[in-house]
Amino acid sequence: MRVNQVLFPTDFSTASEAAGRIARAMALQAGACLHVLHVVPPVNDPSVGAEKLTRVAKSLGEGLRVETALMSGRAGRSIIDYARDKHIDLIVVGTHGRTGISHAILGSVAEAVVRLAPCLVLAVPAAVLEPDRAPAPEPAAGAQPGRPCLVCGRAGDELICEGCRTRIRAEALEQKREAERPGRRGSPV
Amino acid sequence: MAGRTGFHRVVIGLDGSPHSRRAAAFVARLTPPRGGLVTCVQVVEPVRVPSMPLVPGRMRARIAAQADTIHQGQIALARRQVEAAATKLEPSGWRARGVVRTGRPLAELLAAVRAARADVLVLGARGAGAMTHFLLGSIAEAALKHAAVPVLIVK
Repeated sequence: MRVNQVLFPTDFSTASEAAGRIARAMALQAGACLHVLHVVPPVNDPSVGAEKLTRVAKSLGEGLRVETALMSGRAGRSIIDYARDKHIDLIVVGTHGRTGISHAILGSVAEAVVRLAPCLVLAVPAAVLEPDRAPAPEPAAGAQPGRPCLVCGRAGDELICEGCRTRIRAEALEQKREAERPGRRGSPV
Repeated sequence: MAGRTGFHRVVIGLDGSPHSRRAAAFVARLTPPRGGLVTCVQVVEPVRVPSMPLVPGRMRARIAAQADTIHQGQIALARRQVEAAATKLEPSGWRARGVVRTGRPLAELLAAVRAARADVLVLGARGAGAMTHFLLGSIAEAALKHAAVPVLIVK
């Protein structure tokens, strides 16, 4: 079971930063090609992702063969399709490491990847970040400025940042669209 | 492959299933870093006899003794399996040891990860349980949610 192709799917969140570093280290050690993939939700503008993807690939790719890919669709399914097409041996995916309801929403991509991937999967929790790069602990109640986003952990002044809100809405819309068969209206119960 | 990743201390969760054996075989094929240590962990659940308080007193002791015999047998089997896995890892250069723990599988597995100060937890995708989930075992699924270290799922 030799690892020749390593896939690092990223949503540019703090959770995927730790996974990126580990993916790079594993690709270096195995002499493998590192694939950096970003999946844009169907209703979002892909050009924003392209820029960030190039930046991430550049920061991880020193001394490595790197391929980047930008796909549009549902993240879990697109990652699996890419892994099959490119004969990926190992997927290194970041997890938010949350539980309960927030996990049900946020960890769904990592979970789908682990469940359906045709290859090895290394799930890296965000907590694996090195201490100096770990997100700052939540400030005390009342100290609103600098409060990290509950989803991606990036600093901001809102509970959930604009980018994450858009992504969650887009995913919900996409799921609703798929759940409702053509010609059928209302609740799909 | 483990060298520069910082994966010096590896914990493999075994349960006797083909997937968990594959997980151990995968680690055996990796080139270990200097001083790389693998801990093969198998958790044995205590044998619980339902409705024990309803059983007549004289029967209770006999049933408890039988349950204990079964439990000891499971521990002995687990010990043989972890030792066998550790033995297979040594030729590839890893220092390896086998550990058998008793209790709830997930809690004990995570405790073993903490005790070994492991950098990575390696699990088979599906377990030996009768209620195996579609494509992913319940322990692997729970470990993904609760482990503080990277979890490698081997299929």
